[in-house]
Formats: sequence, C-alpha cells, structure tokens
Amino acid sequence: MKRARGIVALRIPGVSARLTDDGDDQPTDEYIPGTLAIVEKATGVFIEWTPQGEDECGWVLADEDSGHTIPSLSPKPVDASSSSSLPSSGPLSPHSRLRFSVDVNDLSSFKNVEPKKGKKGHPCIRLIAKDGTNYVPLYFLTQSTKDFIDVLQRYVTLRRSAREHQLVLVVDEKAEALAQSLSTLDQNGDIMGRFMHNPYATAMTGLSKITTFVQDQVIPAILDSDAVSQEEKIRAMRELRTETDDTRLKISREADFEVVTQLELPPRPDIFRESPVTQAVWSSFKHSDGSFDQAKSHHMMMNVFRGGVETELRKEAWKYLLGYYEWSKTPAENEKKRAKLEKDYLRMKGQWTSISEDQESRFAKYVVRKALVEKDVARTDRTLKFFAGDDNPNLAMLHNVLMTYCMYDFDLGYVQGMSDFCSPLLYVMGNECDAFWCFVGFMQRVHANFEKDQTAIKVQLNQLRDLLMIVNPKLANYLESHDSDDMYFCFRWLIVWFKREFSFEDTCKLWEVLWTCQPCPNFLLLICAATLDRQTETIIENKFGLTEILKHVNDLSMHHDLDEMLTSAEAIFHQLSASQDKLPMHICEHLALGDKSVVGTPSGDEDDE
Amino acid sequence: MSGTRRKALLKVIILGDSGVGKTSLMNQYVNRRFSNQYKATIGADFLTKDVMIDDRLVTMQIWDTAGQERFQSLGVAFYRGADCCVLAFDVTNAVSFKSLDSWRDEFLIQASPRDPEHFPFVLLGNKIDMEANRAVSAKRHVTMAQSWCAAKGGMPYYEVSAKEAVNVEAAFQAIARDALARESADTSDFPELENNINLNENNRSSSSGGCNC
Ligand SMILES: Nc1nc2c(ncn2[C@@H]2O[C@H](COP(=O)(O)OP(=O)(O)OP(=O)(O)O)[C@@H](O)[C@H]2O)c(=O)[nH]1
Ligand SMILES: [Mg+2]
Repeated sequence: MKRARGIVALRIPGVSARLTDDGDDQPTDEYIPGTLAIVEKATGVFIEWTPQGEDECGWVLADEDSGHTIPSLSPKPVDASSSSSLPSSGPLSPHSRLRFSVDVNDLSSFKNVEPKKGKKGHPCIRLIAKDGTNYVPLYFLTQSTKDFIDVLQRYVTLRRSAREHQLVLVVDEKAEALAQSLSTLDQNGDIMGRFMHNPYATAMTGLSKITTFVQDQVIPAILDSDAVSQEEKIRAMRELRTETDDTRLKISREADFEVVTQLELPPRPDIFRESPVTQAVWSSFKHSDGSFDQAKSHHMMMNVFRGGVETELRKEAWKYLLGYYEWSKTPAENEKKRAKLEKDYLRMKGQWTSISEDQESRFAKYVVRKALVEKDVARTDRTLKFFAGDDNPNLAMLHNVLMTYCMYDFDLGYVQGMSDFCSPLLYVMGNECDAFWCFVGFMQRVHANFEKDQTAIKVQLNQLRDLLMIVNPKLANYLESHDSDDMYFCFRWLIVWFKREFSFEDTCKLWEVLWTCQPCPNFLLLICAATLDRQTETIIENKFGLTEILKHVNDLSMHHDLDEMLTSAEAIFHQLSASQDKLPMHICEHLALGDKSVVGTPSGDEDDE
Repeated sequence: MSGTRRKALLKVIILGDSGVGKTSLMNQYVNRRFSNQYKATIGADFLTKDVMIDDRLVTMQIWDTAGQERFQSLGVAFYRGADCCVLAFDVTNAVSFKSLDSWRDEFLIQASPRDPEHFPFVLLGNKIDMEANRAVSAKRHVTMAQSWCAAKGGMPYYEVSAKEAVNVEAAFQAIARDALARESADTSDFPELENNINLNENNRSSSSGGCNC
C-alpha cells in the first residue's frame, strides 16, 4: 500500500461530534469526544475528525519529514489494490462510522453556530460538501472555532453569507480558473461553435439570455475542464442562467393562466408551543360519564395541536385521535366496541395463521407478501430497545399486526413504509389488537400514499411546490431552475410523515399534532414548506443542484428542530389565512382555507395566551 | 498543491428487488460495516468514496434506491448520468433473480444512456454467506447467473456477501476500473456533434456524465 504522508497543520483535541440518534426510547443527545485536524497530504488538504480512542492509532504515524506527519485516514483516499491492509478492516469501535475526512476542495460551506448570548453551549461547525453531504456536527468544547477557521483560510477563501450569518461559504475560485483556461480555447474552438448549435444544450442554457461574458469566457472554459463531470458542467451553465433569472421573481402558471405577481404576505406571527396535555387536563375535559361533548373534544384537539400529549396519556388519547374510540361515547361503550373489534381482529388473524405450508405452495401472492412483511419487520426501528435483539416478542407482534392488515385490506396488502407507521402504534399500545385498530385508523388517512399509481404522493408534491411559490418564491424559482421542482427530495418526508427524519419520541409528538387535522387538513405540507424555507440560503448559496439538494435534505435527517418546524408551519398558516382573499384558488383549496368545516385561525379566547 | 489534481466522478446506481441487500452492499463498500439495523430504503440516497485506481483519484458516488417497485417511478431522474449500473439479487431468493430483466430494462429506459447496447452493467449475487439456504444449489445458481450475464453481452458477475464482506471490495473496484476505462476511451464529450448534426433530432447529448433533463 502506498503510504500517503501528511503534515498536520492543525490539531484540536476536545472537538466532539454530536450524535442525535433515533436509537433510544428517549431522544439521546450524545457527545462523542474526538480530534479535529487539518492535514496536508500529497493528494490534497483534508479536514479530518476522528473519535477518541482510535485517533492517532488509526493514523499510523509516518516517520518522515520534520514535525508530525500523518498518513492517510481511511476511507479516504486509499490504495484500491490493498484493501486488506487497511486499519479499519478490523473490528471497529461503535463510533468509527462517524469518523470522516473531507478534501477542502470538496467543501462547499459550513454552518458555524455560536451558542446564544448568555446561554450555555458550545460553538458548533457542520461541514457541507459540494455534493450536498452534511457531515456530523462538531462541537468545540475547549476552545473557539477561530483557530480552525484561521487555518482553513490558508487553503480556501471564506465568505460569510450576507443573508444567513451562520453560513460560511467557500468562495469558488472556479471563475478564475475558467478565465485562465481560456488560453486552451484554441484546441476546443470548433466544439464551441458546434455546441452553440446543439438545440438541446441551447434550450437548457437559455443562451439567448446570457451575457456576452458568459458566452465568451465561461462556456468555453466549462467545456474545457474535463475534470468536471458532464452533470456539473451543465449545472454550472444552468446556474448562470438562474442568476439572470433571479431578478424577475414572479409566479406564472401557464396551465390555468393564473398569473400572480409576488404576493406580499403579512409578517409571520410569533407562535409558541404549549406544554403537553396531562392526564389531569384530559380527564377534566370529560363529562361525568367519561364522554366528551363536541365542543370539548374540539377544544381538546386544539390543545393537542398546540402541545401534544404527555407520554403516559398516549395510550388512551391516541385511540381517540385515530378514531378507534369515539369521543362522544362513554368508556363503557368504547370498551364494548373494543371487545367486538378484538374478536374481529382475532378472526382476521386466524385467516392467515391457518394457511398451511401446503396451501402456501399454491398461493404465491400470499407468500410474496409474507416475505415482504418479514423482511421489513426485521428492519423496522431495530435500534429501539422495544424492537432490539433477535427473537424479540415485539417483532412477532409487529409481524402479526401487519399480516392481519394484509387480510383486512388485501387489495393494498403490504407496502414498504407501512411498518414505519405501525411501529410507534405498537410501541404505545403494547398489544396487537389496539395497535391494529389504531393502525387501521391511521391507514385511512395515508392509504393513498401506498397505492400502486402513487398519484397521491405526486399530488402532494405538486401542492407543496404551489405552496412554496407563495411562501418562498425565491426558493421555489431556484428549485425550478435546478430541475428540482418535482420536489422529489421531499418524497420520504411525505410518504412516512417524517418518520425517518426524527427521533422516535419526536415522531410521536409530530404525529399526534397531525392527527388533530388542525389548523387545516394539509398541515403536513406546511411543515414541509417551513422546513424548506429554513434551508433557502443554504441551498441557494451553496448553488446546489438536483443531486445536491436531495443529499442535503436527506442529511438533515435527525437534525431537525421539531418545535421550530411546528411553530414556523403554524405561523405560515396564519400568514396565508390572513391573505386568503388574495391567494390563488388552488392554494386555498390545498389548505381548505375558507372551508367552514375546518376551524382555521382559532378566534377569540382560545387563541389568546 | 491540490489545485491541479484532477478527480474523476463515477456515478454508480444499485438496483434490485427489495431486501436483496443494496443498502448493505453500499455500506459495506463505503463504510466497511454491516449492520442488521438498516431500514428499508425509502426514496434515494448516495454515499461517496474516494479511491485510487491506477494512480487516478476517483470519487465513487454510489446510489442506493428503494427496491419497492411502486416507489421507483418517482426517483428515476437520478438514474441519468450513471456510469455504471449494478444489478443485485439475493442468491437465496429465486424471485429476485427473475426480476433482473425488468430492472435492467427499466434502467435503460429511464437513464437512456447514449449507447444502451454497451452500457456497463455488473451483476452481484448477494448473501452467499447463507449458502445452506440457497434457493437453487450453489452450482446451478452460478451457472444460471453466468448464462444470464453471457446473454446480456458478457456482464461481469460476482458472488458477494455484504454481511461477511466477501468480494464486495473487489467487485466495486472492478466496477470503478471498468467505468473509468470507458470514460477515457470516450474521445469526445459530444460525440454526436462530430458529424453533421440534425437540428431536429431530439438528441440527448448526455455522455457518460449525463444530465438530468
Ligand atoms: N445473511 C446476509 N444477510 C444480508 C446480507 N446483505 C443484506 N442482508 C440482510 O438482508 C436484509 C435486506 O438488506 P438491505 O440492505 O436492507 O436490502 P435492500 O436491497 O437495501 O432493500 P430495500 O431498501 O428494501 O430495497 C437485511 O435484513 C440485511 O440484514 C448478506 O450478505 N448476508
Ligand atoms: Mg435499501
């Protein structure tokens, strides 16, 4: 193996990675101690973070040169022909997967978050690569980030974003490089001419719109640099187009000839989350016979919307929220319903548990489904204690609920993502029957997400784009000019209601808010819009394209702030609701604004703090 | 000193039925790690890994997609610009082998590579650690896979295990080497412009680097 040696330009111990895993029943914020370094190697300059305990030993110290030298850190870059000799091929420490090494040339920007004034906490840096990868956030426990930034500036030019002060951009010196490579234009001169005649490329770059500078200098230079991929080249050209487009922000929907010039929305109100509904509050809303009248049940929904419910209350409250128990019924009546439904559950469970192996041999459709369910049960929330380990009886329960659902709705059967919806229900209910009927209630709302043609998801993605056009036209336009206005990068958010983006506990909190259908039926879309809104500058200033946006959005997983998302989404709702007479029809329809069956802005006493 | 370095980007897409081990293979190759706690993939994602191939620094961008068929229709934009497509099946699951044809066809339709006849595919038969459970006897299986590959213009075939890290590194290395060789064999980024151009032709000028339109 070729040994890449390096010079350590900076080494800061006491830099911890923060692990926000969904790995526990309670959200865990774990700081993994480690060392941050900037290392010069033959292959480039690298920013490297290594968890404690495996740092310098993983870096096999080289003995050459003066000062400390460090060979390459796997997995970057390695000699491909000698994988077996890599230090990391042995057993790895649990946190070794967090270790990373990034070439400064691949760095696009970083988020530099300082603790709020007067608040405790540590400064944090999160590196963002040109391909959209977000590295694990690093917390500087013993010193400020100044040294790191100073040393980094030896290698790259940094600029703090004017619009988002936490964002520090690596200034792309490509422009200069491009100008330099003009000299090689001669070799490619002819191609340039032909290129200009290529209708496909012409359409994409909108050549008619771009400036002579771009035509004369940038495009030939882009064509010249064979080191950049085709995708990158084309993206660079598109970006140039966007820059010219940026000045004319407006919304035009050719489809229905609805042209809206940018709508001034009122300022976003400040919204605060309230504390979760407690058992005592819950009980106090009930009549003496244990039922809720309509006004009270509605009021309770509002409370749940604003604060969620206490963990201990979930088992009871979720049954109501999911329509398994009826608000207007007494506990005895609900219990009676439950007894009937339990029989029903067992009947349907019996239908598949009684299929013999011999029958299976002639029942391929069923066998395929069973295999799918088995495969997914084995891959659902296994980091959670509740589902951990082999032969865990809770796995069998999850399997039974999902298989019985296949009998309940054989037309749909089992589709991936359903186990994600089922797992928290089983966790909270603790038994198959209740979990099953809650699941049935939940599936009623999300059934369409799993249907074969996927129309429902496409509709939601389109609605989200429409909303974003109003809420944040700048971002919406950017996405459109970067081939991303199909909003595919939000697919995972929508299909499993952010289950993959949050810790288990936060997922529960989010879902109970969404089950209330307040303040409008499509509140999930507003949460998506609010979440994207927060990423506006990061996406635009990093000049992310289709691929990078997807990667960036994927990497936000487990780094979202739920309360922030919920309050922003609600604030956006109030903005839109206040301007509903000016909004295009389809936006009002997406949010059922003006629809009296859904109480929008709660007026009067309820709304006041 | 790093400014002059030229780094090639290879985009590799892994396709195959749900549960054949695509996510596990990608993680085994990039992170040298296997976990039975990975979740079923929803949507699409990629990991990158820098490798040296014959003194050339290459960034492998490995795309992992969902095997669930109905989720496929939405994510196909990311097939475009692929340099290589890795088809994966589970040696203990005959159905996953039968699906290979449709995965290959779907890829060719969606990615619409310039030269579909010669687009580089690689076949991986995963989970060979579960030898005993093989759907078909090991020997027959290899024969089946090999003849399928032969019928597809000599597609390379590797038997691997993401769990036990058998052959994974070697397979991906070969993938990189092959894709890189094709890359440098391409004489021009716009080969269709070499001759007379038909302006009306709806020619997709995506070379191996591809674009996403
Ligand atoms: N024994 C064994 N099991 C494996 C191997 N690779 C993957 N698995 C298991 O097979 C199951 C599916 O693996 P994944 O990597 O999630 O499969 P996938 O192809 O990504 O599936 P989708 O994301 O649903 O498309 C998991 O339970 C893995 O633990 C292997 O090499 N050997
Ligand atoms: Mg997967």
